Amino acid sequence: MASVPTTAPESAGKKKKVEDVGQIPQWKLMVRRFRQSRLSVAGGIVLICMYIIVILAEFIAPNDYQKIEADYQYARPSEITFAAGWPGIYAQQAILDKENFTWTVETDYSTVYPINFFVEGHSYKILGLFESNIHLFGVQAPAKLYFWGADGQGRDIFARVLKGGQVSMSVGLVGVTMVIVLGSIIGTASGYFGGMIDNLMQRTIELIQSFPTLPLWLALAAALPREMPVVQRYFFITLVLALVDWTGLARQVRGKVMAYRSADYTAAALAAGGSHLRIILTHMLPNALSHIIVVAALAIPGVILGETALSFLGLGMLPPAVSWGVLLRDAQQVQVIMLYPWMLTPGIAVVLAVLCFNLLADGLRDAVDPYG
Amino acid sequence: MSVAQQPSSSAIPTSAPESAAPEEDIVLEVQDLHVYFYTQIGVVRALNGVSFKIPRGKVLGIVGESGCGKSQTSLATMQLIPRPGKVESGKILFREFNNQEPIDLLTLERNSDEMRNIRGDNISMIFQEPMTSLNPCYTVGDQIKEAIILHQGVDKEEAHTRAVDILRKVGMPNPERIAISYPHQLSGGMRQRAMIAMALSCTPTLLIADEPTTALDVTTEAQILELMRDLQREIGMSIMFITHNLGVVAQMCDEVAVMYLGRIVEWASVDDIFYNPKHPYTILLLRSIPRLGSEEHIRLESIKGSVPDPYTRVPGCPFHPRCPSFMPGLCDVEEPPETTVDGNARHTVRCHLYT
Amino acid sequence: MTTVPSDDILLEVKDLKKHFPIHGGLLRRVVGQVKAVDGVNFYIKKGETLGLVGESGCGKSTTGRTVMRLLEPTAGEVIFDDPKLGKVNVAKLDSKQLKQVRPNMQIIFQDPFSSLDPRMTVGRIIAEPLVINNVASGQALRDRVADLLTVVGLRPEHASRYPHAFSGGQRQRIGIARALALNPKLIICDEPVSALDVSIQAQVLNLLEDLQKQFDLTYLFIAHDLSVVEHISNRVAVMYVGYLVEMASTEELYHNPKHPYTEALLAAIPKPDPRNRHRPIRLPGDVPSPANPPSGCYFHPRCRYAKDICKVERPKLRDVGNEHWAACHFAEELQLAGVPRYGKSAHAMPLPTVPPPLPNKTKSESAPAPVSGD
Ligand SMILES: Nc1ncnc2c1ncn2[C@@H]1O[C@H](COP(=O)(O)OP(=O)(O)O)[C@@H](O)[C@H]1O
Ligand SMILES: Nc1ncnc2c1ncn2[C@@H]1O[C@H](COP(=O)(O)OP(=O)(O)O)[C@@H](O)[C@H]1O
Ligand code: SF4
Ligand SMILES: [Mg+2]
Ligand SMILES: [Mg+2]
Repeated sequence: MASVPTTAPESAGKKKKVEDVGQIPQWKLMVRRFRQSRLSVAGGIVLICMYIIVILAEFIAPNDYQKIEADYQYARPSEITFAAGWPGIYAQQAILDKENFTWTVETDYSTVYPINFFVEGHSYKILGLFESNIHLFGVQAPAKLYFWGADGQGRDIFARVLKGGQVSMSVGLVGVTMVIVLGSIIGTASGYFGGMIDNLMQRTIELIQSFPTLPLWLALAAALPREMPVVQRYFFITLVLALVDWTGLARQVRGKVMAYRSADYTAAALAAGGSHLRIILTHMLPNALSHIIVVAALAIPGVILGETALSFLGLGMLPPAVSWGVLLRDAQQVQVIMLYPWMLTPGIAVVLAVLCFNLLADGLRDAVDPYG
Repeated sequence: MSVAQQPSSSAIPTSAPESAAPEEDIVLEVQDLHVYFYTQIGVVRALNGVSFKIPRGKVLGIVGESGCGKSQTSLATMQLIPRPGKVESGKILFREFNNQEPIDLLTLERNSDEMRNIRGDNISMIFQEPMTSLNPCYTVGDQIKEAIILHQGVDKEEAHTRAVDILRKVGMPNPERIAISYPHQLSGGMRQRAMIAMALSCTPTLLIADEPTTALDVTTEAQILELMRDLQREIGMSIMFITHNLGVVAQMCDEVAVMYLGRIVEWASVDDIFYNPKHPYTILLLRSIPRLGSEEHIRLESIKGSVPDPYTRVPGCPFHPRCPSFMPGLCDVEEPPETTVDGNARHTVRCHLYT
Repeated sequence: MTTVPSDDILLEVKDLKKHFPIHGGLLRRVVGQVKAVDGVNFYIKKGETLGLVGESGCGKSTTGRTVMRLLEPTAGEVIFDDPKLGKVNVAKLDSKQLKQVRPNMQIIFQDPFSSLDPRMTVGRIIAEPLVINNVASGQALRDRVADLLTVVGLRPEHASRYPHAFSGGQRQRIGIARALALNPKLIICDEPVSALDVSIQAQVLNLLEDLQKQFDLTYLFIAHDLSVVEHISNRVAVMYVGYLVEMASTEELYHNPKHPYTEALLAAIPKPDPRNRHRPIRLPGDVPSPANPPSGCYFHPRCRYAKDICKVERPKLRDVGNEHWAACHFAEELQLAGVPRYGKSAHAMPLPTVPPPLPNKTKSESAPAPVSGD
């Protein structure tokens, strides 16, 4: 039977699947509903792209994000030209304007340097694992490829935004993981057992929530010693951000778990002799999971913004580490922004990431709970 | 079956269908109403050609299992069909006074002043769950007062007196105190009374009651039914009474329309529905209720299967997959037309057994 | 409390109490008690159905759940005749013994939606009690689930579907299958048909009756619909504000009630007969709050027959003869109206019969009547 190579059985099988809506698990229905909101799907796709780019930052960026190029201070974004039939750029040179004491970078329009793919350059490690010196693009010296211009020390902003994204965009994920762990354990315990445990946890949460978020972050972050190694600092900053955010998730999970706890299926499991741990693992958490995901997705933009704000104020990540907040610090003065608007590109990255996360979270929320 | 069986003298005479006068005074006439829901999974044909009339001063009961379209019928009358539902076709003719040219409610804009006036002044509605139509932020008295001021144009003090009067009329033990209570401070029965008071504050021509006692205990239900009966007789309004409880139908209604899958399958006086039912569905419904006082234990009769899911379309007679009288080749092919029973124009049935 | 031989009794509840604390104030101190169940006594004989009726909020569900120890009783005894352990007081068992007794007492719920975990397939739902108690696994488990589905009138292939694909009546069947999984002796049915349409209600009631015969089950049947309770119960207990006010055989209780509350409940039932419309005895007011019940007989503010003594003294549930228990000071004297007796198996109203199909109209003999699901 199976050897007959027709498409009929397969299409019949497909049809049968479509007919029996009853066999579709709830999460698949949610995925289906999620797919219907175009904007959220688009947000999700953009985010995936952003993460890929950020992870491959050193490979994609043509220049070293730390390299200081005195000749290219505040170089403007390279003009891409198709004069040679192939995308290329002109070389730039920094010149000191002796009257205003500002650096201007002049473009030399005489020669076109074509943009090449997979060129050799400085060596780097992707994710600290794979060593390589191949870059996605590059141009021949003496020209330098500055997609988004350079900062006051001639460092490539494109490379810095990509590299900064590694911190800024992962802070969201790592922070939210901590939020999820703290929030779901405490929320579940509180909602399931109720009574004294619940009372204690709710008062704690109220206490934490009664602090205004920003000053609390500032206070906690300011307590971190400035000479702390970058990795440790990163960890503590996410912890600071998570410490405030878990309360919201814990509240949500508690509410949900309380509802599941009073549902009759829980009573049935208890009546059959099920232990509390078993009931939590088979009925409470799996049911709450979709809500946890939504709340987490909603919390990520907050954490990203939190890190950006702290670093911007000089309390989060500190140079030489880069994050979008650290980069935006360089664009603090109106003068700089007026003269070198490309210094604001890290801001665009923040807005894009936050927007996409919000779109994604919106779609997730609608998919999980179409009426709420 | 004979009328001689009629028991106690305390019985309220049911209005058996008198030989209808040539010019009947019809308050509401629904003609061939179709309501479809365009959902993502498919089209739900909630109402498939519903037609009925409500004579002035009478109570029409609409019965049927849940999902058969009772609520949609009432919502269509009020032009309150929720999205993605749509009235596809049909007419809803409403006559506020006898001999008046009827207005087709469906031709009015759903949010027009005219429609809103009809909703407040002429047709009122009460729901199963009173909390959905009482605002939790205002006292019961304020809500009734607002309705009175809006529709009767009296001043505040007069409105207050009238509100308290109405609350007294619906049997509230302490109307002054109830007037200053919030809905959540009242019990289920009290809330239902408050809602009836609000619905009656404008002495409507037609009252639509969508399962008003389903959420209540029998004892409270008995009180509310009695109240509605009394008020109905006093004000002379007509009632569209929606319920799935046959006991309540027998106690409350003058005429009954039995619905199944968005169609009215039988329509008759309440006496005929209980003593001379024709449609297999009506008969089976009557046979499936446990009866008080039967000495021998009789196994309940049930209707096999369940109401098909709303996305499927049943060809022929909508009841045929569950019907014991199913006639293959006919019932599953042709939709039975509406036929009168024994030449009685006030008893119609849609079943091939009688065509 | 009874003259029934104790061997015949499966469950005896003695002075059962369940009080819920009311918390108030900043520190959430206990400021009062909701006496949801306040001194309930009853017994259920093996193989019988005891109906438990009363208005909503009078403590029926709480009684059921406290008996099963889904709620911890505040006081009282629940003596259950376990097939292995013999008579045990469920209210006092430690968690190990409780786990042994639990399979013998199961529960069916009112709400066909909240009683099934929407994330689990029907198969997993029914298998859950078996898995918890390590009764079966693998193929044996799947076979048992298929059996149970068949027993309750569903098809074995339904096991792979999710609850959302089932109607209310079918969901109720799934709940029944889950309750049957462990071969219980006692099933507490907490309003199993209240949320169903009449035609489906009849299906489920018939199923419950069949299963009772087939598996020798004993039911505590909680409901607020007195016609349903009369239909299914051998004996009936009437509850009012956490207290039983009357208990007797169904026949006695419906035709010869001894408590004014029972009389009022019976009178309030809307009779499905348009030629028998009557004004019910008005039962004024509402059920009092169990947090703040009236003095004396809890029913006295609504009772037509209340005398001075009713305001002061709470009547005890006592045998007024013939296994008929009532908690009213005047149980013996009052002549209360019950449901009128009709002749043997005759109704006030003749039951209509469904006409047979008309052979001359049937066009194709071959096509069988398509019957869906149930
Ligand atoms: N918002 C909606 N979307 C889709 N279908 C709906 C919606 N509301 C009602 N329906 C469908 O309309 C039909 C009639 O519903 P309803 O009038 O509420 O029934 P009843 O009041 O008799 O229980 C049902 O089959 C239901 O599935
Ligand atoms: N967990 C609880 N906490 C506080 N009060 C409760 C709780 N459960 C039930 N009650 C109260 O106990 C009373 C009896 O409830 P219940 O047993 O559900 O009544 P029934 O099943 O007869 O409708 C009600 O007044 C209810 O408010
Ligand atoms: S038309 Fe046929 S299927 Fe429909 S009710 Fe009548 S006999 Fe039954
Ligand atoms: Mg409805
Ligand atoms: Mg209950």
